[in-house]
Amino acid sequence: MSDNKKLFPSDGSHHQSAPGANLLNHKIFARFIKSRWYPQVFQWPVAIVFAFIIYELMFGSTKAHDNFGTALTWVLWWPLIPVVFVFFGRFWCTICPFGTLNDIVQKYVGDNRSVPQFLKKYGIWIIDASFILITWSDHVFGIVESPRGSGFLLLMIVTAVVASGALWERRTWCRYLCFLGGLSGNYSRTGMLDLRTNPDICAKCKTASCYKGNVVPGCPMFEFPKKMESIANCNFCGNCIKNCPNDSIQMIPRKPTEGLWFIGRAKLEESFLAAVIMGIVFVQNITMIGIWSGILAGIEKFSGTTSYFVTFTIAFTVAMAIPIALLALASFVAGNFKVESITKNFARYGYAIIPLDVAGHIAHNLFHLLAEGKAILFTGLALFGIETHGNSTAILDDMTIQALQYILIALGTAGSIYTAYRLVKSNADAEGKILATFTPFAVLMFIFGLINIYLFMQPMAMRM
Amino acid sequence: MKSLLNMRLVAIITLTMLFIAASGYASEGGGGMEKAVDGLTIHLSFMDEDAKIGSNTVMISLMDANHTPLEEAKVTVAAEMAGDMAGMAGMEPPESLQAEPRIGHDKGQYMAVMNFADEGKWKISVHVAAGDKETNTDFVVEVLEAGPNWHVLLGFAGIITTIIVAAAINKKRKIARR
Repeated sequence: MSDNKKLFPSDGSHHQSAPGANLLNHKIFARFIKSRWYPQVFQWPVAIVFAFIIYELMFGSTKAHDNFGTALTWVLWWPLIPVVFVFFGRFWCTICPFGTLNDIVQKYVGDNRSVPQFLKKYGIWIIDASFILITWSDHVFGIVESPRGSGFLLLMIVTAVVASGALWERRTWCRYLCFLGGLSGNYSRTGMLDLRTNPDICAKCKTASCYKGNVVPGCPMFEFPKKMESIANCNFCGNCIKNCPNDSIQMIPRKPTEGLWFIGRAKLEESFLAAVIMGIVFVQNITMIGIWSGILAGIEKFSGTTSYFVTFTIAFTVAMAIPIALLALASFVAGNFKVESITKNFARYGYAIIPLDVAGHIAHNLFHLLAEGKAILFTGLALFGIETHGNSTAILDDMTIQALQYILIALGTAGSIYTAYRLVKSNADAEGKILATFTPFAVLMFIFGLINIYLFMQPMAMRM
Repeated sequence: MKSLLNMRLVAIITLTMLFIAASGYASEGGGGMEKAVDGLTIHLSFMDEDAKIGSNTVMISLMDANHTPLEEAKVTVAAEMAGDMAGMAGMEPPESLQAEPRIGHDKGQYMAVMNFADEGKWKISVHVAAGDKETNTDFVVEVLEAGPNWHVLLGFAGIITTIIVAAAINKKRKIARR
């Protein structure tokens, strides 16, 4: 394999990689990825920890602040997961215990049926809907605050994964049904790891082992690496690397957000999710700060009911509708007031929100990780009878956490604005009117950034 | 045809198990406490037999001096942690809850949902206003740490086992047919 050749980027943004940028050129790393230990060496410990978490949630203390399972899930895993996506793309999906469970069920009793057409067609919409539903349920039924509620949610997912693994081929669950799949797909586009193929080698390939399987099964995510448009559905499971007889697959580090600079086929549902996640970040923050009681009182007055089910649903819908409406407005303005281009612009430039989504998600959860992080240690020690009640769970003081949150939001806003610029530049239709197309989206990202900064300025309530 | 029957069987078993799991949240409790004040008998109980950390449905039944269910009373319920530590200087303020019960299933019955945050003794104050009479009665209940919900666990275990067994049978049949 020649080192100095023009590589075909998976995201279509044609550029040359520096020789040696391919991580698989490093012999020890390549040997590890190709070995039978990868990814099992990560999957099994994660599966064991997951089983313990379920046990703790269902059998441990019913008080969130005393439950080790709650601490591991909501104080450690949930805040760290977007960080993993930024550094390693969807690698988490490879070692995710639900994915491992799917593989096991499929291996022993799976029927391996083809994915139903409706899932292929509406999969991401189903993912969008289930993500919204779970977030809504969390607030209305208090899933995070209730260990049993969290356990119930995980068991429901386990059941659905078992059913999916028993019925359908590959990782149908991860690709078309997992509520986190849309989020991880979107977030991984900002990720710093890419998987590409050598187009010269692939052009001569007659086996398609990467997709069909050879040494190990083919791509679990239904991707054909040489035609892969983005990294959104690559788990870095290593199957294509193991299967390729010609060593065509390459793992290349890239700049954060680079995967968003060119979108081949923009999908409305993915942009919609990007806008919805921004709304969810707003809701997550608003419900944990002082102004929430005033907002609730206002909604109660407006709706004439004190039912939290109703009042929260109204607040939730409005919070999600705001970014969607603002994105639609920016799409309308950027289309030089041509109504027919709104949908196209919405789908294409909605991706620019993703860096800010990631930043907002990490910034929000940074508070929980750093202000409640010691809860993981304390609840863990409690399992051995060592009580630590009354000790502060904070790892860093509030001021430091707040400063880190501002830095993250600033980086996210800059990332989103730059992504919007690159998306406009890469769009042939916008040629000659780059500024007119870019400005509305730049303003929009700036507004989202300001809203986030305002929300992070408010003192936030603890999760546990 | 066999496959279709198989699918139906799996669906029926799955739905049954799901029902068992869901019914774990709706089992009717009994027992309770009763107090007579100013000719009014107040019976307080929980939908689940014991009060546990988390969401609980409190049921209050009112009877007048003639042992007739008292309807159309205005009932309010307040709860706060009882005990020596509650309200002491330097301690965190005791957890307190308030609710206005809705009319229950039976005559003279009122129900409210209360979310107990901690285990231990809780004082539940029931205030009843009927006509020109008002009474206030306190009950002390022991809120317990909730154990595992076996209905839910068994329900899920049943569903998962059913799916796996059905899939295994299906796979075996397919292999035998080849």
